[in-house]
Amino acid sequence: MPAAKRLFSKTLTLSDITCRRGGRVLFQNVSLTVPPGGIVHLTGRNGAGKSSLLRLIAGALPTAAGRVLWDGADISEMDREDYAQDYAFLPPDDRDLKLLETARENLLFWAMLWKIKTPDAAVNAALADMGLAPLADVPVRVFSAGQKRRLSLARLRMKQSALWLLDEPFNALDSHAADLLADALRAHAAAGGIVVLAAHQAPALAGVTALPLGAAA
Amino acid sequence: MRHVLIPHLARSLRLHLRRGPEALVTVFFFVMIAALFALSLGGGQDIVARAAPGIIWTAAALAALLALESLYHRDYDDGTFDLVLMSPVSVFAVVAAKMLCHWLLTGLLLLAALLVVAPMLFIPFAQLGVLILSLFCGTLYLSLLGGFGACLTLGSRKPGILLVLLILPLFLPMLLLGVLAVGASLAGMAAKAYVLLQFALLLPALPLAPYAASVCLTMNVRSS
Repeated sequence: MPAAKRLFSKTLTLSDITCRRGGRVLFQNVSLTVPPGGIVHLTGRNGAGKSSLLRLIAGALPTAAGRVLWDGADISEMDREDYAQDYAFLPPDDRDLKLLETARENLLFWAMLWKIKTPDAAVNAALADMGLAPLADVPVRVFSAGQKRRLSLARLRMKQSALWLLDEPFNALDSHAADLLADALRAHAAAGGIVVLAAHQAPALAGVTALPLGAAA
Repeated sequence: MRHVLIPHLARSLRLHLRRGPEALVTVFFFVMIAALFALSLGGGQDIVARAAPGIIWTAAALAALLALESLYHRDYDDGTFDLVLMSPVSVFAVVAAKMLCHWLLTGLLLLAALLVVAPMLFIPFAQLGVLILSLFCGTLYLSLLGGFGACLTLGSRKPGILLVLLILPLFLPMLLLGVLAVGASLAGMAAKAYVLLQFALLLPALPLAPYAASVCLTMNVRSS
């Protein structure tokens, strides 16, 4: 992989964000600017609003106040499909993987839906990246929790988006896979990509900005 | 459109076939209802033949609703729709592809099953053409309405009964025209007008149903 080749150059800005769920304020006045190459680690206790903030950045949850800006544009005014091209979301669990399909079939579905050029090659590369090449044609039904997590991460990388939103990416990963993921995060940041991740343990990476949530509550 | 249609067709066919016997439930259900009526009406040719259009249409409507849950509610429950909304792809196209998948997995199979059901209900093969054409409209209409109803009930714990209550009333005009068309053809009269009216019902639903369904899907997924 060519070192420090800048692929992405967009900035994420959170401006005075308040999040309310079920009538309760989870956090308020959260502001942050993440330049290209920035990695943000969301911290906070259970229910502090880490997942909510990730969904909020993805535009899947409305803000009670404040704005999310992507490259200077308010995401609530952007075209949903345009913005969706720029970010990739890792759900906190892997329930969406179809157990009756193989790893390859699962990824191919999304590769085609995302209009990735040469989907077969992209799927093979993504599987190899996360060390899943030998399991490519095995039904996901027999995967362990960690292997499913790796498959979700492989799918995320396949999308080649500038902004990664990761909800508990290290869950169920063994130390080898966690190292693979840390390498991937480092490479993504080096390419100018942005990572926002919610995790209970800080990732073993240099230059991570911590954003504590729910301190007000 | 191709990039949406092909993966959806491939996935729904694959999952359908790998679920094993579940894939044939729709067709067996259709054939069983027809057989039950044929037997319980006493087997008299004139009675059964007169009731045949009604039996076929009712059985098709109920059978088509069976496959909705596995196509829509499973994708909602496991978070697939959530990821679809986070994808650079039009929701309208996704829903339209789902509706086509539903028709291929139910409507098309029901039309094929007519070859078994028609002789059971004393429908002469000469009249099969009108029956197939009119049921083609009907099953496609059911796939469109069904997709809309399914997207409307995403998130409900027991969507089955709700779907029946929602969709069947909307399906009534199509059912009436279909029964009239088949009845007319069995009585040796022209069925063309009824079949054309069926197409007239179907056409506006082709764009409207996926549109309405895509709005419901977005609302239901984003509010959860």
